[in-house]
Amino acid sequence: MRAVVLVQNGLKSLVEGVIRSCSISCIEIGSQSANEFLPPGQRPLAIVLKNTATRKTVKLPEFLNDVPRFLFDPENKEKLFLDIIELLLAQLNASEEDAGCARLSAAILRAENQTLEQNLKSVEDFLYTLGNPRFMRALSWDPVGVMVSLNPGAALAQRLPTGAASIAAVDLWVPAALQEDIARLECRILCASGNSIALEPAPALAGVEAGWLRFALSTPLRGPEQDCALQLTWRGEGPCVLGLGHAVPDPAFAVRAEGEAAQDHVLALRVWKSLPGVHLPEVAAVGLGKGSHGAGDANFITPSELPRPELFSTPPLARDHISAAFWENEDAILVHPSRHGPVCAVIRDVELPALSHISALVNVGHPRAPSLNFSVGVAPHGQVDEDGYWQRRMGPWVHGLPPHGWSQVHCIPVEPIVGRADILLAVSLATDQPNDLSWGLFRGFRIARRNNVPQALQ
Amino acid sequence: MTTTGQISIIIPTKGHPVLLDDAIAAVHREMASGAIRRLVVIDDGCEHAETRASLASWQAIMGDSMLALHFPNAGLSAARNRGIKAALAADPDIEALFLLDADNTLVEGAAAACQRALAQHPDQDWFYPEFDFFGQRAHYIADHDPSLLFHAHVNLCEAGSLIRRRASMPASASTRR
Repeated sequence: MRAVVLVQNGLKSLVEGVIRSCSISCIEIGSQSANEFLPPGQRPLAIVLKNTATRKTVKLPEFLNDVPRFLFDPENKEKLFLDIIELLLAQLNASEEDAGCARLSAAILRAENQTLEQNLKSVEDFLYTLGNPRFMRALSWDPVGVMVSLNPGAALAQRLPTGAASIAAVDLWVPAALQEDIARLECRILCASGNSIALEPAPALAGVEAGWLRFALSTPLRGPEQDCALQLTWRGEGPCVLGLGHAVPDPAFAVRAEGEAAQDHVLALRVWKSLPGVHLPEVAAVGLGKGSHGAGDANFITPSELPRPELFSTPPLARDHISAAFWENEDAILVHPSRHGPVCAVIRDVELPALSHISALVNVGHPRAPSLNFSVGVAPHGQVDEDGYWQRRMGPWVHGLPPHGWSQVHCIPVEPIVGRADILLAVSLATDQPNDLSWGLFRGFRIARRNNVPQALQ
Repeated sequence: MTTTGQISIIIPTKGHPVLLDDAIAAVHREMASGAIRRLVVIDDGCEHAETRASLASWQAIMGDSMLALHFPNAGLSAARNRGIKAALAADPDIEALFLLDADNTLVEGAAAACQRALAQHPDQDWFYPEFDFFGQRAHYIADHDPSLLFHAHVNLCEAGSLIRRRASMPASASTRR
């Protein structure tokens, strides 16, 4: 756009001679109105007048009052040139400042928008997590009936294949111990950063003296995710017995006593992670009463010693063969699963006082059977289907047992078994294929008890 | 604009004309705390005219508290070194320098936090801040208690860091990558 300089009558050629720019037009102020001599939408850069005497006599429209006015001095023409340059420079600076302010405003708006988005995201996250669990069991290694004994002053280390962040508590399986002894078991989390954090034994409900015992932190671990290990040091006087979990092929992840080779098994434990301030579920109260020092006992019973099994839960859509039966010649209980889901059998009304742990020896009985999954569970007699959710009483599943494969399945009761109980036997197919010859056999049961059976039951 | 701050900010820029506005705006905002004395922007031969326009506009409103220098492209480290040199020449008594990338910003209160760090740790010369990514939910924490084991696994030392002047004297005033 060309700039316009208004000049008093008779000055046009003189001013043009001074400015000498084709980008600036000089327009003489005549008797006509401003709308006639100014191009539409054009605002003049300056007004050049002959002398101060005529300055007030030149009548201009009101909207031109704030346009800078310069005097043309025929003796000092260069001054007009410098005035125009200064005027242009001032306008350039003003424009740059305006642009700077616009950039600043835009940056502030972007920052505010970003903050708003973050706030909305926080609200969204909050709403989203309202129904979510606030804690998780990051590791869960159930005891398998094998123990490790700690002498006074001895220490154990167990790598935890989970990050340290948010760990809130660790449960250990103690077959038999007194509460006051547990306080002498020092439990620490060792982080890769070198930090060592002590966990305090949490008071258990109802004076539990055997089973899962909790060691907790006052607040979940903060900081970046990093590798960690559990370190246990026994400060008591006699030996301390702890339960071991499943066997592991990699000795790096097995429990290791100080100065000794690694065991074949991991420590039986549960690692809880949670948000700060969240109440974790109570440890299962499998122990009973107080004052017993007994370590418990166990015995093996065969299916022929138990009541006959019956089908308990089957998939609603199952149209293939499913069954539960006692096979006398094999002395085994058959549970035949469906392609459409697991089948659960029940052995009702078995005397299992002070049951602490039940294991089953399982076997895929036919050489052309598909691979099968097995699980065992236990419930107080008559309560197995009181809420329609029998699965909660099952132990961990053993997956993908091949034809003629053998294994063990285990279950720690989720509630105290004080007398008669129902045993649950579940089998499912490991892969989606016909269920022909799916002979899921339960060959025997190991029943572990504490020997502190309540008086009322003896 | 105050000129009593202890810290000068150095922004090397190339190819981020839009993000540059946010970086400078964050410094402009933090200058109000009085902790920042000067902003030095090194145009490392940016190919976008927008960068020059942006610098001209910011210069117009920031005046002497901003020093914009234009060079042919020589790389990020050279640009930072030029910025360090210019900042030390402009303010020989400056206490510390902060290297801010053109695509980064400072959170509110960052300048005051830098000033506190300088005061609380007079024997420390290099300070790494925690940082976030735009649009991501991760928060990157510089390890408060340095651990060799932890750093062997992950090392979060953001280039945007605070350097005490004695650690960037001319003899050693160079960053390399």
